[in-house]
Amino acid sequence: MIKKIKEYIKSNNLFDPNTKLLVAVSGGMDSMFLLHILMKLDYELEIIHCNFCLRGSESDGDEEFVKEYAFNNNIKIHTKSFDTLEFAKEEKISTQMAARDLRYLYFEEIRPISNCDHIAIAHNSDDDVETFFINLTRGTGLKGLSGIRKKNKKIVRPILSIARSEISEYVNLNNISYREDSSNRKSDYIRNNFRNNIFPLLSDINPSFKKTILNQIKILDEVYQMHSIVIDKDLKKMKSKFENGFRIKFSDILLKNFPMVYIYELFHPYGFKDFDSIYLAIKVQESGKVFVSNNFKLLIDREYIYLSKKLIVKNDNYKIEQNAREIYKPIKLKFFVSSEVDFIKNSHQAFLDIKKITFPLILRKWQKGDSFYPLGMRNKKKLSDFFIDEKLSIYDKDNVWLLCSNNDIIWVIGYRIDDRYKITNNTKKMYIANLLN
Amino acid sequence: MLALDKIDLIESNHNSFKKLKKFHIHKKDWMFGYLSYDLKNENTNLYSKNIDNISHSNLSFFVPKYLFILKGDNLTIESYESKENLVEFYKKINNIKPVKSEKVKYDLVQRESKDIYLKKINMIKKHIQNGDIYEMNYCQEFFNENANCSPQDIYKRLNLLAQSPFSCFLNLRNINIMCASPERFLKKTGSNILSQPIKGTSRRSEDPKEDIFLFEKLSKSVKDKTENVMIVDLVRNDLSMTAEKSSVKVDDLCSVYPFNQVYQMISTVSSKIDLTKYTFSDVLETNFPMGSMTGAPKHSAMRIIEKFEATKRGLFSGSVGYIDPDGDFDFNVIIRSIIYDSAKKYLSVSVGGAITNKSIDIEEYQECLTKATLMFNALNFNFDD
Repeated sequence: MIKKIKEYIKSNNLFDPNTKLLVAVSGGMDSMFLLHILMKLDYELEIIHCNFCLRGSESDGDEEFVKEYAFNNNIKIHTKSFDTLEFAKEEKISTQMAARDLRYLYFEEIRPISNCDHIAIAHNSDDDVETFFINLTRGTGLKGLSGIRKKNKKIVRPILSIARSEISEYVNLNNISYREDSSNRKSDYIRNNFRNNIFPLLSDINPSFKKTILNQIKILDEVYQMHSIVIDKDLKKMKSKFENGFRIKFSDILLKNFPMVYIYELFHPYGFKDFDSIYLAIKVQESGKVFVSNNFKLLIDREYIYLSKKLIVKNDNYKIEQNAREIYKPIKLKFFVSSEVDFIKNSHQAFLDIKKITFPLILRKWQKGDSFYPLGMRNKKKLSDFFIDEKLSIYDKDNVWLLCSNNDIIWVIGYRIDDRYKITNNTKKMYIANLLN
Repeated sequence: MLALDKIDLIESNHNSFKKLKKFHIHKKDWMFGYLSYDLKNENTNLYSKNIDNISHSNLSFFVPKYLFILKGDNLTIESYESKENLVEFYKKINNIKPVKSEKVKYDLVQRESKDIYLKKINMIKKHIQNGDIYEMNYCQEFFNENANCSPQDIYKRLNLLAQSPFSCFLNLRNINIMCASPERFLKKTGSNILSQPIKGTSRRSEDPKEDIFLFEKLSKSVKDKTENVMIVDLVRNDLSMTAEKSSVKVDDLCSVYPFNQVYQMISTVSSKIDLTKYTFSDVLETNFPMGSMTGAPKHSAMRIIEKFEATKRGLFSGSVGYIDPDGDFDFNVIIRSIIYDSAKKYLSVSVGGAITNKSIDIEEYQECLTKATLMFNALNFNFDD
């Protein structure tokens, strides 16, 4: 086994024999195996361990285990704890993605300090097969189907060709200790679903399907490399820098025999999905048309398509006290109180029952999930649906301000007040808010 | 009719019809060649910026070295060669043993997906509803960008399958047109001008009962008659520009004719050219491109075609034909054709149909495939829709 891995490292040119390695060790079977092999091969190494704090005391137990192992074997170790859930929430990504991002960020932070040339990671061939299927169902295109890289910049994966069963056998035979359940992969629902439910079915059809898939990955990888050589060169030529993104001339795409490939390769990395519509908008020059993904937007304008980062709207809240008569920031508003109950229909003025309002009022931008009772309606309506009914563009939506009382939206400023706060026959005093331009 | 080898050639991209006229006056000879759809860009504010994989001129004609005309059993050969040389040449030709043609099989790629086609049809209908046009011919392309072809073999197969009245094979430099067109664009005999636009296509069936049913269905189809009449109207307008007063006539309106693969609805419009003011090239110029391939109104339709179609049409929906020494001519419409650029190894099949407000997207798509079946069969290509 040791020989096999040594040969793999050499033939794939992963790293030189005198390289110093930073080994990523979770404490699980794969990484303890990798550590064991690399030690046997006499590499100079340090350990790096991430505590993602996803399984409470068990996570801490993993950390202790790895620390102890490092101490006993006189290896330098770097550890760090992360608030993975919080990070995932902030970045709006899955826990798995968050853990991955944090891990690689930390690796790159430590590698230069520790003077290591490469970071060794314990992915095995089963991981490769699983990743293939996960990517296939997620729809990542050819790239996602071309396998885990043996070597990617500073990252190396010396045991990528070894099957999990081989590792298990070796680990048992050689009494290598590891933490059961240590890997956070155990909490990866999709991966486990494939492993436990779908792979057995595939095994029924083709008992050596993993081998078959690994061969397919090899072929797809070559196709992908070939495709990249052509496409990447073209893409570089097409893109020209523009503000905080880039722009591309329509004709550069349309004069290709396979324009959809380019549209996919150009915009898929930024989270866009509806490539047919993007193509059509370019073809018939729908100037002014905008497409949005989570963090990016595409604008069609004359002969160009522009990609830019979506502006992040600052979510500042402004307090408005009961005695406030006017404010100038962030928008101009005037406030009156009147005991003469009368009103005119006017989108720039809100006539509200002061008795129902709780001060201070809050002025803020809208957020996903906001809802209110539009005047004249009995039922609650999502603000996003209300905007659609009012035919607001993306830009208009971002410019909308809300007047809130006690967490209720009482006025979508410039559009509609909330039905619960309207003046009725029983209203004694009115609170009037006036939007000035 | 067979025109072999060239003793003279005209290729033009500007003022082409005028140059053609001069060339004819100068040569007073037989001329064979093509008119490309994109001649339209020469004297209008139209353009095409769509992808163009076939290198060709807007117009190109050659004067043949040998001309073979077969009428019934009578073969006439015209040439400037001496009689002895000609006899020798004829002997040589007769000694050529036909090479057994290779098995033809080529794959094609659909340039735009079915989904995009369907979406576009509905966008085009919006233009009709907005009043920009009332009929438009929309075409899609199937291609192979690296095909090693024997155009002669392909044409042999195509012609065998179709046996269309306006079939032709043209090889001019890198350009090969293998055409099984059922449609005449324009014919001039003396002062008589004849145009026979086709609008309305139906598949045929091997079951005779169903075949008759399909014939009658097309004969009675309001949608197809509407399409056809709109174009007849346009042709009348185009012909009137060079015609003697009140000589434009519709001789036959919306008759259905059987072809090997399809039924077609054809009309015949005729006129008498005012020869005191106009020549053969004026008739061609005022009628080209043929209304059956643009839609109506012509100019607006051509503008919107450019916006929606992915490929620059070029030779497709252009015309192949000949002009005789007296200035009489006969031209077809380049449809049901396979076009091959032997320099770029680019093989192309385009098909389309007229979109009116009555069009149903998926039916238009099916009609395209019905038309394409002939060329696909000739190439032994199985399209997996």
